[in-house]
Amino acid sequence: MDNICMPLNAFSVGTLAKIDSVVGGEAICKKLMEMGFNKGAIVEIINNQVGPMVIKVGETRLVLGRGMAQKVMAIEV
Amino acid sequence: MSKDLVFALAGNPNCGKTSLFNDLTGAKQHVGNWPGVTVEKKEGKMTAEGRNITVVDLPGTYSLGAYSEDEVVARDFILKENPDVVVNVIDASNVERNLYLTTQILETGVKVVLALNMMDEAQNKNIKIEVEKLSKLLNIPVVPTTAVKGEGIKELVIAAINLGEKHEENRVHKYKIDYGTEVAKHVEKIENSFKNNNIKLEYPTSWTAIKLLENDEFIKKYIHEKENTANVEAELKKSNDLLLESIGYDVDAFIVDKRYEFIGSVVKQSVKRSSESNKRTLSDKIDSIVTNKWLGIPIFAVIMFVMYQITMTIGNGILTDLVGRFFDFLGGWVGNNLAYLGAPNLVQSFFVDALIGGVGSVLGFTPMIIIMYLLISILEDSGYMARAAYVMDRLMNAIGLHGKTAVSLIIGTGCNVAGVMSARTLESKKDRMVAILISPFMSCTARLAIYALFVSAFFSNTKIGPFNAGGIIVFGLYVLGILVAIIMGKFFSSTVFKGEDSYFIMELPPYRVPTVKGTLIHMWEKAGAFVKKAGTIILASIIVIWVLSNLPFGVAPGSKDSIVGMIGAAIAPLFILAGFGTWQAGIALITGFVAKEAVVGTMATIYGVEEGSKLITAIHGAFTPLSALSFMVFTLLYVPCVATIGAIKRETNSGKWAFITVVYTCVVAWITSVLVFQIGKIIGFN
Repeated sequence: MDNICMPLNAFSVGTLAKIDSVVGGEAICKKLMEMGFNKGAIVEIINNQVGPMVIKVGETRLVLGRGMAQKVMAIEV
Repeated sequence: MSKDLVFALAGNPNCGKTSLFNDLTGAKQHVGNWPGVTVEKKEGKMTAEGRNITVVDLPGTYSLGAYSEDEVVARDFILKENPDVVVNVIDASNVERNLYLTTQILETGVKVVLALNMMDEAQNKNIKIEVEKLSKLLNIPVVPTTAVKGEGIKELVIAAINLGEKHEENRVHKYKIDYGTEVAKHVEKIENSFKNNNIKLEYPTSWTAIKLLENDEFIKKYIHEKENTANVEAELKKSNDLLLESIGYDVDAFIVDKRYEFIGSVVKQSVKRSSESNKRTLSDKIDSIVTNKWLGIPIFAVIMFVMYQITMTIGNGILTDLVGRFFDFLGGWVGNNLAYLGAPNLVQSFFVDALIGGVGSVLGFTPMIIIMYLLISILEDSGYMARAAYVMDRLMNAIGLHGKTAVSLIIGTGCNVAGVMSARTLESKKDRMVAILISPFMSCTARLAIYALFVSAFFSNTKIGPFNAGGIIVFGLYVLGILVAIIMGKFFSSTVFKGEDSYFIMELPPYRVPTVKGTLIHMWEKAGAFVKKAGTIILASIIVIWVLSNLPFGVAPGSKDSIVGMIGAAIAPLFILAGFGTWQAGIALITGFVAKEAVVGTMATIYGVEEGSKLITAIHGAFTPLSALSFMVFTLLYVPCVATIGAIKRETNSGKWAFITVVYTCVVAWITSVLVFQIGKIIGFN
């Protein structure tokens, strides 16, 4: 099945997502990559309610504001 | 022979770096500020194996990029101050992510020892690390430690000392990560460009070249501001374009990927996890309740309320009482002795009222501060504060603020100074500035003393419906403060700091039981800083006020003819519209600028009575219920005490903002209290 590339906040709780890229080009994008959202990394969506998301990157749980989550493009695994 | 060594501790936030620092330096630490920025600088001393060692705890960062002041501070220390060894503390249960910073540190060429910390947690999660292998792959000494239990510390120190005293050449070249031939080619081109244009760098050349390709904002600006760098910048642009073509995407992302590739291979060969470690941990289970959509905010409210109550009853109530009684006794004893020795009244008053009274009011305040910081330290060290920020974020976003801002504002209701200082934890400059600028509107405990006086004078016997009017008014004042803070917060975010970015990315560390030692040190640090900074200003100001109320010579203290009285009379007309245009109110407000808790005492002096029922009677003569109300509103909103202004100046690193705060809070206060008074008059309330 062909999985499309979507921003992180489109994923439901409990799914695993493989990071494709971080769009935008601002300094914050690099920061995101350096914190674990690099190409090929597999993350788990822990929480996706109204407000910031909680995402498990490796062993770390990160809180990510929606605006930032929107910049991270990923494919469901 | 053995010389003095400098160790720098570097690592991600929440990896136990602070525990290690505490272990190494114990009580011999000093917390200050890195010059020019609002980043905390922690330095300590230790002796081991006959050497004197200075340990610098660098800010916790995820990388040595240029994203925040923290990272720049850490990076500059490593590159410019040349520590003998960098002890890189990493969380053994999270090696992959932690190694990113390690690769960056290695690339600077400094000597590194890896402290593989939190081994106990890794063991619990069944993560096995082959230390020898890891050490070989990274080419640096690796020492397993569990800082909270004190395990591995001795071995770590010995390894660091040995490395620090070893003489090594050309370290930068030992740690070149393979970025591929294309990138390597362009790194060389840029390095040549530096040489050909005779550019002298404060940083290693290959490191700088890589940073430029990595799009590092700080280094780009650094190069841009140097002379003769136009060629280098042209070369850089050319390289970027060529690399984009050959790689297929931006080279900065590519460099990050290459680092992760290297890390991935290192981890694969040296770290073994069993499938168990992917289970939902205890932290996750707790979080499902604490950060639950419906329970999150109520749980936060309950925790804050309990914290407040404990601080108030034990700190403000019991302990402050004790301190107060001690100083009353001391004042009486000294006063009697001075009188016996025939000292003139003025001298007696100086010792009793200014010195002892001044120190007494500062120290009287201190138990509450200590307890508050103790509770805050426990909440922070356990990991709950991060959840609090997350839970409040949704609400705060609606008013253009951050989740973490909520925590800092709540701390501000204990003491504005503490609230301002706690804004440090906010990452973006915009969030920090806004939090600092609106914190004076949070009603602090010192103001409570003023409300208590006026409420007992005018409102203790009235009722509004079934409730005591006094209680409602005080509650209303707190709410008013919060409302004004929110409005001003929104105002600042959308005007002055508009467009500056406010990003929310934060780690939720696993819940940990705070250690007694760690918490006490944490609390002591913060409370100590508070007492030193606030205490000295308050004491100095009380002495100044004392001087002003006793000059010119021979005048009745605090009377209309004293200097402070004359100042009070001079500003009194400003407040006619607000209902309290008397010189007495003027003096009270001036005193309030110094220290809000000094207001009640000053008023007692002005009216020549003791505090308590006599003062209440005296106030009846100068105020009406309505003017008392508008006076309280003014007190709530106008300039915070000198200690807070000092803190604002320090935390924003600028006198300009401190001055602006003074002015704008007075304006907001004046407008609001005039409104209260005039509207009150109109609706016939007096």
